[in-house]
Amino acid sequence: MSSRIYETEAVVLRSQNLGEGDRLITLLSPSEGKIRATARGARRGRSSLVAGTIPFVHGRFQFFRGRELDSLRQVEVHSTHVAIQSSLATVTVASFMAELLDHTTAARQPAEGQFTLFLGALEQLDSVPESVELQNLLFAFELKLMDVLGFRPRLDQCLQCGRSEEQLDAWVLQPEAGGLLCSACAGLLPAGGVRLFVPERKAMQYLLNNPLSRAPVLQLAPAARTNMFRALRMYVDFYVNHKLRSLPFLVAVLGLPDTLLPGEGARVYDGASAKRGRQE
Amino acid sequence: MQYPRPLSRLIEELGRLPGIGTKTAQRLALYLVGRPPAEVQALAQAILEASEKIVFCSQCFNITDVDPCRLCTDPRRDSSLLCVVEQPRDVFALERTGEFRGRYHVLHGAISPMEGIGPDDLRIKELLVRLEQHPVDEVILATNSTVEGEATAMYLARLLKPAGIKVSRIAYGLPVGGDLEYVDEVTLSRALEGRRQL
Repeated sequence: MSSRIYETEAVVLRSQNLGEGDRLITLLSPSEGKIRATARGARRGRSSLVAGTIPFVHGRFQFFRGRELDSLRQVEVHSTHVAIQSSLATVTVASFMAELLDHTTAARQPAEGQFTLFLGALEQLDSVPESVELQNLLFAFELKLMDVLGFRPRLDQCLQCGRSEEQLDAWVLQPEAGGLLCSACAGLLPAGGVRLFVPERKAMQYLLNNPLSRAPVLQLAPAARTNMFRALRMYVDFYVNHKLRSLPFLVAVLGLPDTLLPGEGARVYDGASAKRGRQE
Repeated sequence: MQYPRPLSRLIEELGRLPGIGTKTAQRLALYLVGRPPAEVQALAQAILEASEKIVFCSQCFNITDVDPCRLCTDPRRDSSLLCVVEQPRDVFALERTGEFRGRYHVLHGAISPMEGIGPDDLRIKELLVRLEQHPVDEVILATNSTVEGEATAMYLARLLKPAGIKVSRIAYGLPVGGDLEYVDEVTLSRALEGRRQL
């Protein structure tokens, strides 16, 4: 076999039309990280490469290594995850997860953690969970992705003064700090972050510390859920540092408030106003 | 050696066309400059005329030279059936079959969360207005069998079904004349899922 031909396990993140009958695909591999490759003739129904260009398909792929883009030669499908496509909500959540991975994974660098996490999420999405379960799954995925990328939020004590959870009922999740600050410490720092109360903080700890398969059973009041989502959105966006195209559609499909969208009036914690609130 | 300015400009313009690379653009440009002026004039005239006269039909949004288009005004077509497609070329593909005698609606794209294309970027509002003004018995969703096409079909079904409109999706399955062993796994899964009783 030529040294430029290689094989790897991978899952398809994205597929775009290229030219008249080809596709440009983006894949996630545990050993190769992000792979971008062309699949010649894959838009023609009878091509043997068709299955290897469908988003969320997991399999063993063979490529010819190119200078900029690789070229797909063969594919052996392990799992089609075709059930995900049977619901608009699951396909939107899976697309959002894939976009997050696309922006946070480098080419030619092993991405074992991201790969295992995404595959686990796709297996959960295959069972086409209901709206609330789907929201839990999505946010568990985001928290775990932060962990895999080395940005695991510290949720058990104030990162500034070390006060532990039992002593306070309100916290601030601050992305720059990498986790929670107590209200007193947050007030001393420049504005930024979202205020969290006990239920949402515990929910985030639960999602972070348990396997994805246990995420759907989480119970949380709607207001706490929205606040947790807002806090998480700010945290993840800070580290991803990229405008996610699928976010507006995701928010609409999952029935989440518009305020979760960047620039749509999200209630950002402001240390000065919090101090004023306490004095009042 | 560089091409003379008019020729290099022609190569540049031809190279903008889909599927035309630099080499093909050079070959086409050299062919064109070698043809009789009347022939080149006719080609240029045809391009200009098509560009000026082709518009979108105000009812179905297919491309046409008369508005409303001939498919929308043909009294022999069945107005109780409406087939929704992604692109004008899909209308021509379906017309080639000679099997469908209803009307069409062209969305001009498909919902793609990853590309940031949402329902507001497509001709979905126009479809809803059309269905309100001219109710039909059945809407056939003939979007592509891709993730984007499926998402669009599901979105439309979710919008139309509560209004009591019968919504159907074109079938998936084996290509006619194809051997089972060469069919990809996804198509085969879909073919099994969409099996029908004989």
